Amino acid sequence: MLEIKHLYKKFGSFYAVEDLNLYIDKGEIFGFVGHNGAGKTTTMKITAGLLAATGGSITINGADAFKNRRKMKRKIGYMPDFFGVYDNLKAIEYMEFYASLYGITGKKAKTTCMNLMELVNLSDKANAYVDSLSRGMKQRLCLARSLVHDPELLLLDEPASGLDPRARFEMKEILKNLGSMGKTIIISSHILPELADMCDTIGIMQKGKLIMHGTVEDIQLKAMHAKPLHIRVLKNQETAMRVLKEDPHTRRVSAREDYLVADYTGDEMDTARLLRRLMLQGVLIESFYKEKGNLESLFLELTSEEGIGKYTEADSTGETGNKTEADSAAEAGNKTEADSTAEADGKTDNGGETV
Amino acid sequence: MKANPILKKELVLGARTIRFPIALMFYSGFLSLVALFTLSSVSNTYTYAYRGIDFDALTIIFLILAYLQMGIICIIIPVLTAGSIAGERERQTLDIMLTAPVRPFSIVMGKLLASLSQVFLFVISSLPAMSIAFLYGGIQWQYLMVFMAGIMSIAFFSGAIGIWCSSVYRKTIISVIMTMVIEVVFFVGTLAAVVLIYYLKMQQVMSTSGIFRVSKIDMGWYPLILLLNPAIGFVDVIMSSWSGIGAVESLLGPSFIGNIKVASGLKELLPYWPLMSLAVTLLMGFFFVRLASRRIDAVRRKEKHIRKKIRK
Repeated sequence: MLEIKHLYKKFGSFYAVEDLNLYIDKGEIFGFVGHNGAGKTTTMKITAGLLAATGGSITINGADAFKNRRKMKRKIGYMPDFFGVYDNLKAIEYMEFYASLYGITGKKAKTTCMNLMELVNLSDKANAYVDSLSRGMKQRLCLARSLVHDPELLLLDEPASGLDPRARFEMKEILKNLGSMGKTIIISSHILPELADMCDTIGIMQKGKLIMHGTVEDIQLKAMHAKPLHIRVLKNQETAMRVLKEDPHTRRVSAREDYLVADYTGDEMDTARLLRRLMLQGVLIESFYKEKGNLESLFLELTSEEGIGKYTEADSTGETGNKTEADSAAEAGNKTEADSTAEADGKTDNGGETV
Repeated sequence: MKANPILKKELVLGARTIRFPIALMFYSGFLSLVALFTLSSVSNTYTYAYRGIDFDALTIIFLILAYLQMGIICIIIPVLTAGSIAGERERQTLDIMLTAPVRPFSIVMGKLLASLSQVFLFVISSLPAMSIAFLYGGIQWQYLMVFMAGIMSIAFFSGAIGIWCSSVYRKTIISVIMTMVIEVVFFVGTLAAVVLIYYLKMQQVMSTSGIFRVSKIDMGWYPLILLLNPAIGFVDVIMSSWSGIGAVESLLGPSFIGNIKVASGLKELLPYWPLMSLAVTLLMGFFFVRLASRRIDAVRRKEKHIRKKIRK
């Protein structure tokens, strides 16, 4: 449906969008996440034809979006992150005005507009002046406006920003409804969890680059993997340290008294294998768990300065190097010895996830 | 034919503000006062032969009101138009409008026509005041038609400048000021340029032939600059309908006894000056409309440019 290839947008010497590649399938709901200034709005504006790209291409259903703008505009519905309303117009007049810009007039315009206002639960406000509508209502009116020409692709720039929880919930429901109608939707937000329950795929942008892209499940898994592995070793801590360092998924290990904390990027199976290896090597483990990761913390981590490097490094090599903190390792020693068996399975700690 | 949606919307919005009716009231009120004052001045004219109203002098009410309206419209139109595109930007509705497949030319023309319709209402509202001149006869309806055509062409020209400024400057106030500055350049600057050329030529002639033997000053084709001045065009149109000979023709034509000489080709064109002036004013207006459309359509032009660059 929508394919973005090597998209660049430069403002002076600053790259707002840098080498963006993206493919969104028909009927997919894609969530664009990133901090303010990450490049989400710029990408959306370029797609909607409001900004000229510095380089790259955008195709919609295989057709070059830059080549035939007027035709493409009929396929795109754009809702910006501001209201953009005429206070002196009635809600229905506002809708009809935009319908007329797409050549929809007369009875057809009236019917279409009323149906859309019903879709966004505003049919009782059709004759109210836009000025008198609440923020949430104005947002919904803008959404209805962007649907007036029945577009195939919907670009919604922070549709739920500034709304109270109730209005936010209503907006979410409407968007889910639109998704079920088969519309391809791109929603931007700077709150990742907000998008998680209504999007099929998510892309995280930072400083004009798409730093992560995948299904919500993939990203949730990555969120979990991005969290450190905590191991409480009662015996043979040095061996445990060696086994961890040897594991290709370990990025960094630090030791604090009888605790080992490792940045471990392996999946569930890798983690289980690591535990088995440790036990086979005679390491006495009291607890073994991975910190629970959530989308918000993953987003914050990814979009931090450290996070970008961390992810990019991991992603580019596909594997991770064994980086250890020598000082921490030197501190590690056999502190306690206990008769407990190395039965790590089923033990949890501090909300940690049992592996 | 489908109505321009922007024009339709602007008319609805315009009708819902209290500002416009108030402005209209002050406009026609002021013109009525001027008309009544002129009428009372003219009514008290005493001549040697006859004590009472000088009917010929009454016609001056029409001219005074016509020229006065031209001046007021030149001030009103920047206020009406200079905020049109800038206002859409300030409201952040321009971006939304531009995501629709509507042509930028339609947006600009819709905005301009909406402003012109308001000017038209101003002019219509002045008719009762102007009709005072009709009370005693001596004025034909065609003068009124010519006046309407002249004033609307000036409004179109000034409005187009206003819309262009509105598309260039983001703030309405800057846009209004710049529109007035450009208006001054066309309305006063062109006249000043011709006067300056005349003065320089006169200096040249005086230095060669001496102060007491000044021969005719050859202005060549320079008076054509005055075609760029819609105000002179307006005066010319009114005068030519009034007396059969335009203001420019009477100044530069064969009947003029002053010391100005123009190119013979230009002399032949002088009878057509009112028409030429009207055409030039409209063309200049379209030029500014086109500029404004191009300005709004900047993204498409940039994209074209980038595509060309990539192809190369």
